[in-house]
Amino acid sequence: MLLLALLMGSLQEAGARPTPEALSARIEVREQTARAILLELRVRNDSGHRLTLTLGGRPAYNVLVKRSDGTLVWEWQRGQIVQQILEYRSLGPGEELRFEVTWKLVDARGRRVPPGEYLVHGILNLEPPGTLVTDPLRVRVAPAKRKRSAK
Amino acid sequence: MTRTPRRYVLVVSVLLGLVFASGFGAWSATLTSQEATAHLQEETLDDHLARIAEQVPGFGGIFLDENGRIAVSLVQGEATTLSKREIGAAIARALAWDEPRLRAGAIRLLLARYNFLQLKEWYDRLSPQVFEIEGVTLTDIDEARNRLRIGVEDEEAGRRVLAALAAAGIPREAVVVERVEPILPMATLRDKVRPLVGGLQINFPGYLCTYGFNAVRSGIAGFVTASHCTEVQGGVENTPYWQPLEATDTFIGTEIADPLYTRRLGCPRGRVCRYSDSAFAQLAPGVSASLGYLARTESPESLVIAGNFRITAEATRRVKGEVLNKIGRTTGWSQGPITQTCVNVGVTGTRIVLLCQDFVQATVAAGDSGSPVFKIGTNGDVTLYGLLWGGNSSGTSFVYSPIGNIQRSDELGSLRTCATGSC
Repeated sequence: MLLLALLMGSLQEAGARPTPEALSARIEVREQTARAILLELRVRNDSGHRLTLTLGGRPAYNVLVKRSDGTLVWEWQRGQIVQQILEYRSLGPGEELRFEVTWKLVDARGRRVPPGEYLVHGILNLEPPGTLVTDPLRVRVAPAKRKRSAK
Repeated sequence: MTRTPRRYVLVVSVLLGLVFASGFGAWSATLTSQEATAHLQEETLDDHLARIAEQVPGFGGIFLDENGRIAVSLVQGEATTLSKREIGAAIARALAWDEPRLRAGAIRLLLARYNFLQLKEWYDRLSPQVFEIEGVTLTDIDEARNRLRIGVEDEEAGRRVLAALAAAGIPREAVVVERVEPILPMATLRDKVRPLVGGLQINFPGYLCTYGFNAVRSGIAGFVTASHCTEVQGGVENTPYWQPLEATDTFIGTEIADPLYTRRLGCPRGRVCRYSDSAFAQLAPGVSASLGYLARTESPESLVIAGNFRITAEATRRVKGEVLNKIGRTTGWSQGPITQTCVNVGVTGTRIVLLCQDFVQATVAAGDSGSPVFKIGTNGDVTLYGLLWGGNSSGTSFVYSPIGNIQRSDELGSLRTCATGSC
């Protein structure tokens, strides 16, 4: 559960001034098969107060998959058109926002990625230019199973 | 109609600055009684100039000329008994302006056609009634030109002003009527701005978007914004809007048109479609809006409003490579070429496909939905191209619904969007 970046302008709190510790973001593997990984981005209000986030765009979330050297392999929003709207979302103490994304183990061109270790980042876009970015999650992609030829 | 020479605006501004920065400020600081303070608050600069005219027969005005000299205009034959030094002293007293050149009589005398008292009498009579004419932006006694000056938004307002002058018996040659854009206070796209113009921030329950452009639809005055900037995209929910944010005095209107997304000819299987992401809201009673005007920021990327763009045409065709602009509450004014035309675009996370949309390579970010998209002409006026609704994840390219699509009979239908009398 790690928080890398939070820009203060996108977060409002009744009462005390919000602090970076008020929110946490993480990305988890919900389900993994030989063909895809179902990922879940979770953003939680860790403060004792109700917070209002300003989410940037619809959808406001994104997922990046990189090689261990930092090279971008796949981005969920790449090639998609996002509605350019700002949305206020209220989060009570302990409450979470959850977003699901499926990575079909392909690169930006749609080709199956080689087996190995990849780093997954979850991003929640806030009031521009604010973003909330998770620490990388390491996932392992196994070699694709070859179809046996019928005898 | 003529345009104001910039130097006159400059010299009058400089003169006012000098007066207030020197003696006038010191004078006001010395007034301590309540009576004196009240008297000061009631007087305008025009009152001070009228006081000079009472002491200097034939006084027509004072300003700094293009070389910075103090220029005083006098009606010929009315001020023969006073020397330059006496005139300078009278001006210094009336304006409480401790200026050595006035004391020394180092002033440039010019011929005036009208006595300032005469101009002020006409001005006091004309100003209240002329401001009732729609499209009048300012009234002034122009000291440098020795005339009354009336700013209007367009020719129709100018014609009405001339009629009012004739009815009031004020000589036509004593008044300069000229086109002046509506004056906006120093504000950003995210501040409260009236009259309403395109490009401002709007708020509806739970969301922020951008005010597209003013329009008249079936005789109803209102504005256009994105269909997804309503409570439900497609269908009318009477979404309320505020500008810039919800408050007791910022309600601006209610959604009254947002056609449904349907399966129609050309719509991909399993999807619902429209030709535009647009909705129309009716203006609330008493809310002022300038038809045909968009906010113009001081520069690209700035959010500070520096004037207006005037819409004088609607695009009838779009060509790849044309340079278009948009004004939005998040990234302000951005500009770039059309990169793709008439593209069917799937909206991420929905079953919606928008038919025949255009892409522009220019900056965009969340909150810009509803931005007016336009092309700037050679004379500074603009042609309306459409309404921005989407962008890529890197914020380098936006998508807009063309104005022709917005006005299809199965979309919002015919709209009047141009400044009065321009198209």
